[in-house]
Amino acid sequence: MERFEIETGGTHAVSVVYLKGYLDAHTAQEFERALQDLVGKEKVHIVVNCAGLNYISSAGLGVFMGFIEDVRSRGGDIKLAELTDKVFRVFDLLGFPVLFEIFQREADAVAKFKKP
Amino acid sequence: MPSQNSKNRSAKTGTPDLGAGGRGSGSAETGKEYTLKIPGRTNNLERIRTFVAGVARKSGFSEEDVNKIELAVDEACSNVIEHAYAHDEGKDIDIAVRIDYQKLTVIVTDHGKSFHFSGVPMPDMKQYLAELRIGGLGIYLMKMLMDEVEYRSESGRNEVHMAKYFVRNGRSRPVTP
Repeated sequence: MERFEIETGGTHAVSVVYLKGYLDAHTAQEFERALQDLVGKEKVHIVVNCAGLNYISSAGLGVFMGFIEDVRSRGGDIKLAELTDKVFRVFDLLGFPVLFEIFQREADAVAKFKKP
Repeated sequence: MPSQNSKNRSAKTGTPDLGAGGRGSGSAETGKEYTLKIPGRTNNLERIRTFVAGVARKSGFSEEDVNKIELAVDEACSNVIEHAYAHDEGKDIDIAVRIDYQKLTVIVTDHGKSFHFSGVPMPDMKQYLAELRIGGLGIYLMKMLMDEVEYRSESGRNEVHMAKYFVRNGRSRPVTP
């Protein structure tokens, strides 16, 4: 059974969170904790790489919504990269691309922080 | 475990073709009902999705529609777990998937706290995003993803009925005879 895994990497300047598996009401808390941990360390330039994410429900979307205001108020942002078509369709259905920058490649999302 | 009942719920039983447009040819689920009884816990959501997606896929829906159906059912069950059962993990959720000639219907049943389903306002997404709101998207998503969504509550039994029509002649709604 495919579950949910989360890894955090990147550089000092830009953190990259790698999501794998499914993000639903069961796993959303884990993602929330990972973002909380970054924000707590004032690491607010965040790229979420969704290449391994094969499912998202509103509970997962809620985590993005729950942090975006705080992150931006601290001068940072959450950018998304490498979404599968299936996951992108859910974001798109709700109009999330208006609020979140979405990149095809992680490197482009990271670079955007360096050249706003 | 999922079980397949042999209830005949459709006069079209015996008509194996689930629709024109090249979908579902040869499927034999028409008129059948598939059920799953499972404790209302978030760690069962994945199993619920796998069950519903499996039936939808076998019924001939496109992968995109299968994804919509599994997400709608996840949202309905997540609502039950959070609101109707308030995370009381000892209570079961019943899921029934019925296939008839025109459509697939998923019925999610709980025995928890009912709520005023039709009273839940549908968010204006532009405003929702502009105001950075959180939560409250479950029912909106269910209505966006499915062709019909109904909520019934009677004698401590709450049911969400969600239907998706098979596409015929490029139409996803039933064709008026």
